[in-house]
Amino acid sequence: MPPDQRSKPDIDISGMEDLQAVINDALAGDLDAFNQVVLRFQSQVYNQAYRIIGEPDAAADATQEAFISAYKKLHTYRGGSFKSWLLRIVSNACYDEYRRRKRQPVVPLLPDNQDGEQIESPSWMEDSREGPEEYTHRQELSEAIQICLDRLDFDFRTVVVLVDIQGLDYRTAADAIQSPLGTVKSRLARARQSMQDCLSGFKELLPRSLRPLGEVN
Amino acid sequence: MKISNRDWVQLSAYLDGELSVREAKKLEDRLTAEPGLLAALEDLRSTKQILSRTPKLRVPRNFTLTSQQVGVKRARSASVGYSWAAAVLSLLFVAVVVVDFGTGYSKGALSVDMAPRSEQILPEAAMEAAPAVTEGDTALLAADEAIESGNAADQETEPVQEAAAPAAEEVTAGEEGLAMESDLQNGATQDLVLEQAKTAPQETGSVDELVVEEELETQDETGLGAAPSQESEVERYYEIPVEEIPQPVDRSTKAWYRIIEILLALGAIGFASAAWIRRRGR
Repeated sequence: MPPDQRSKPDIDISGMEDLQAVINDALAGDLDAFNQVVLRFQSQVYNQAYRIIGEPDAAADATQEAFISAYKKLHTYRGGSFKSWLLRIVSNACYDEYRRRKRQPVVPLLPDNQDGEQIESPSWMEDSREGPEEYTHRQELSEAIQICLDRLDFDFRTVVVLVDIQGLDYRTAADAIQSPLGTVKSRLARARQSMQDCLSGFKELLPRSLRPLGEVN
Repeated sequence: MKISNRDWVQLSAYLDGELSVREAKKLEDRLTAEPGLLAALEDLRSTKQILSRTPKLRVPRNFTLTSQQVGVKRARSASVGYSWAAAVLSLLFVAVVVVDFGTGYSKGALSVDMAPRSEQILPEAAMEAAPAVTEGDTALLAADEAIESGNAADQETEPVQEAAAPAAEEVTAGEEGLAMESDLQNGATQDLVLEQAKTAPQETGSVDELVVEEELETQDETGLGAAPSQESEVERYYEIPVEEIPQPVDRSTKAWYRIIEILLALGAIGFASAAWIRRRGR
């Protein structure tokens, strides 16, 4: 199935006022209004879930659970950063999914084809706009980052995903994980240090400007 | 060069601009003096850049919610149903309360517990006074007969004589078999005598007055006559129409009213709570 048929483009809820109006409609029980919020944030939520859990199916399950949970807990949203509020729910859903997956047999990161062999490049990761070389490089870098993230403890992984991949500031990240600002600072520093050590093993995958990484120590 | 954990935290926060001005200045001074610290900072910067360039994955599907997933319709319909049930039960409760208390007041069928004190006393006083009234009636009749016999014996006042004469004539007529008619006329005669006996003493001050008073005093002493207070109660008793006298309350009916009221109230509260919980749980 082509990617453009698989996922519709997100509806643009431009501006905080529009978002707040949609949230108010959703609070009144309008499921369609909430689905606009889902379409607005689903890419961000899914990417966070995937980077934290590391498995596409588990990430999809966590994303779905997070949105269901968000809809049911929408009355607890007291204004402020909706993104922070939503990502907190996603973090909790990821943690639940992470623990559930740990108790179950390991599911392969890459899906199987019809012959039962792993597909190295899942079709939903494809981007028809880039060439084969670019695609390969992007794919390998993505996998290298994921491998390094998987080596981190869950708490450190969550913080580095929130700040360095999702681009949240410290305070929003602290709200999302419901921890003090100092905890975010220390966890992030340690996570970056670990990621630096890990990524230094994938120097050939890194952009040329970043290849000196790991040569200092 | 060994970099402490605290230095890593400072370098990481410095990269993100999360240090205070003073802390940032202090760290910059150290970076100038310590090349190892500067190299660590550059490595952290590269790591941050790599992570920020992490390819974004396209979502495998849309995660929009359906009503089945969140149970919206079920929850909403159940919530509305509970609300309606609570409203209906509340109305029924009010209706039963109105019927319970409203009919009680309008018909005077108040329970002993609920009735005002004065209304509790009245039926009891009336019931207590009833035997005395009967006895008092008998005593009054006896007094009347005594007055009549006294007047008939003396025959000193003309009205009595005039009234007694027709009575004698009617007695003769009674011999002709008109007993009923005779009795009625005798009664009329007795009434007339009683009236005259009550008015005569004021006018004549005759001996009859003393006789009547003596008779009444004797009856009062023996307790056969009605006391003045009892007389007033008797009058009140006779003034109240029988159908308006409060009847004893059917306690079993009252108990059923209370049970129904309690059940309706509990049901209304229960359904209202269920509707509220349903709404909150969504």
